Amino acid sequence: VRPSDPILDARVARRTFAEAEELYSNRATFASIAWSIAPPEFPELRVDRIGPTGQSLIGVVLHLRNYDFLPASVRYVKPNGEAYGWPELAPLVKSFPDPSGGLPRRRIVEATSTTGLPFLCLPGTYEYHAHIQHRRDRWDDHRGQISLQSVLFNAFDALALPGS
Amino acid sequence: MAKITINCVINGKTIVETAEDHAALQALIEDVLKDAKATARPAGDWTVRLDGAPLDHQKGLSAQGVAGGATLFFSLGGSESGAA
Repeated sequence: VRPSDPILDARVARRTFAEAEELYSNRATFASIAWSIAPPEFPELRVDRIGPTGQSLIGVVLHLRNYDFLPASVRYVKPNGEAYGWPELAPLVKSFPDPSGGLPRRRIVEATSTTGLPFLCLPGTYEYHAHIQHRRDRWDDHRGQISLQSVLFNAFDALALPGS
Repeated sequence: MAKITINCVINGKTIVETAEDHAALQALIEDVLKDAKATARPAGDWTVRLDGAPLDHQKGLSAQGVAGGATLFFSLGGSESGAA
């Protein structure tokens, strides 16, 4: 199953897409934290992190074809909309201390088997819940709790952006 | 102690809350979660930010720079790591 496969009835998916439209309607508030929210076009919502000179530092696209039957699929994109591959994204990926004293950990993993693209490996994303390692952490246990706003914060938190 | 009004952005919506300026953030979070009907997860699971910086739940609002008219952003679920 790929995140773009039409599993959920399109009419239902368009109704749940209202969450993306609500973020857009509140875009002026999010502009205060340097987010630029593009007009949502079903089934995708794009949010860019804006740098000090007003340019996009990076974009995050949420693919919501089956949301919230399935979680949001997340991909990182360049200002021109092209998806980041791992070699280009890697320098922007933040490392977090391991609480148990091990090696620092990243929240973005090199490639998902479905697309070959780097992915955000956190609850609330399609790529996390579809991964064999996290099959027991079911989306059903997070649905209605981890909102698109939270997914976006988590997606940007996973990055160390220059000039941000 | 003075009452202040704070804009709390949670799940895409803005909720306006009134709080004592010296009250701990924790109390405000609990009020916001109730008003947003987002009580499935405890207050401690939420990250609350002012100007992008996470705030301490146990510290007072004014002690952390939260003044009247401030906007706080709520998020959930960013604590697990992916790969080493």
